[in-house]
Amino acid sequence: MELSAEQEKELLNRFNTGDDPERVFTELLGHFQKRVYWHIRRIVINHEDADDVLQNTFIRIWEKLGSFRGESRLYTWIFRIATNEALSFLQKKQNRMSISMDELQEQLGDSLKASTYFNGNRTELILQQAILSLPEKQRLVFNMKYYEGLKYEEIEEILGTSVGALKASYHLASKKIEEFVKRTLNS
Amino acid sequence: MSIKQVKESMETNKEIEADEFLRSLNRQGGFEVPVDYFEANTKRFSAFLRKEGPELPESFGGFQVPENYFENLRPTIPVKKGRIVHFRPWFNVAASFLLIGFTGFLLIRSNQTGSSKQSELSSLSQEEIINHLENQEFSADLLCEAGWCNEFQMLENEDKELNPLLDGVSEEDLTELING
Repeated sequence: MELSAEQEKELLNRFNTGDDPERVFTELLGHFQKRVYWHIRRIVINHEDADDVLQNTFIRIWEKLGSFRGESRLYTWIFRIATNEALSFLQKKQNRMSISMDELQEQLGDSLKASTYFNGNRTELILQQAILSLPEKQRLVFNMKYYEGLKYEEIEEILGTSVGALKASYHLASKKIEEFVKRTLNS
Repeated sequence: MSIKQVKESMETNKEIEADEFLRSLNRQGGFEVPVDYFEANTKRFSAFLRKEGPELPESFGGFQVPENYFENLRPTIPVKKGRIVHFRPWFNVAASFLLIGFTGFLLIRSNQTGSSKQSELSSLSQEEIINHLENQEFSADLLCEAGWCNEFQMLENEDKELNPLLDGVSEEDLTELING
């Protein structure tokens, strides 16, 4: 459920001045958790990992919401926290497994085949593997644009990258994906 | 693809979201979540915020524990007992004899050492002992440290009193006086 800028402000105001911040926060969770979950899931791929990162993300939001100054939209701030948590999770996982990020992403792609919570067809599986073959930044931009339908200006706020660079990233990413999928389907 | 090509592509204002190939794919992507996951997550987080107790489900991440496992969980730390060694009677007797023998040996040896030193001293002449003592240089500090400060002071004072009286006495007379 999308919240307008005014609704976000009103919710923040109730959180900071009301006598039941837990209830307001649960309301906030209801508004954002699905979008945040899918954003995280597309980064970490596995449901169990996404669940862990989602918990950590909302705990972090709970801790920091009182100090949020409203300099950006609330949802872009939440997405920024979720992105950082998910990337940090992958980094830790990579360190724990003592492999490179490329190897980890390849493993994540392979793990989809056996995953309980993935039932995509062959093209969808290849598409996910293609996305996982992209460099981290291009992968993030592609997911936010293609799946989450965010505007470049919103992605700019989340990732702190200029709109021009984001457009170039998305363009390169989509071309690489197209090539990867066509090559794999024809092989 | 070169940077020039990317710029050209963007300058032509080609709307990249409208990429025909990607549009043809299913955007769901094939990912799924467990049934009622989001509802359960809201309840779980709400309980966490209100600290209403354990928010973890019975099955967490696929792992399960036996029924009432946590309720019946008791720490079972093994108590470490001291080890009692039981010796046989013959061993006790042998150990006692060994101890008595060793003590006796030490006593005899210390007596032998003492008497041998005494016999060595008795073999020395009085002249040799006096010469030895005269050649020794005693430090006042060393004697004081040994707790003989007062005695040392008294000796020094006696020397000061006697020296002027002995000035006119010859060495032969003094030797005769000492030897009685």
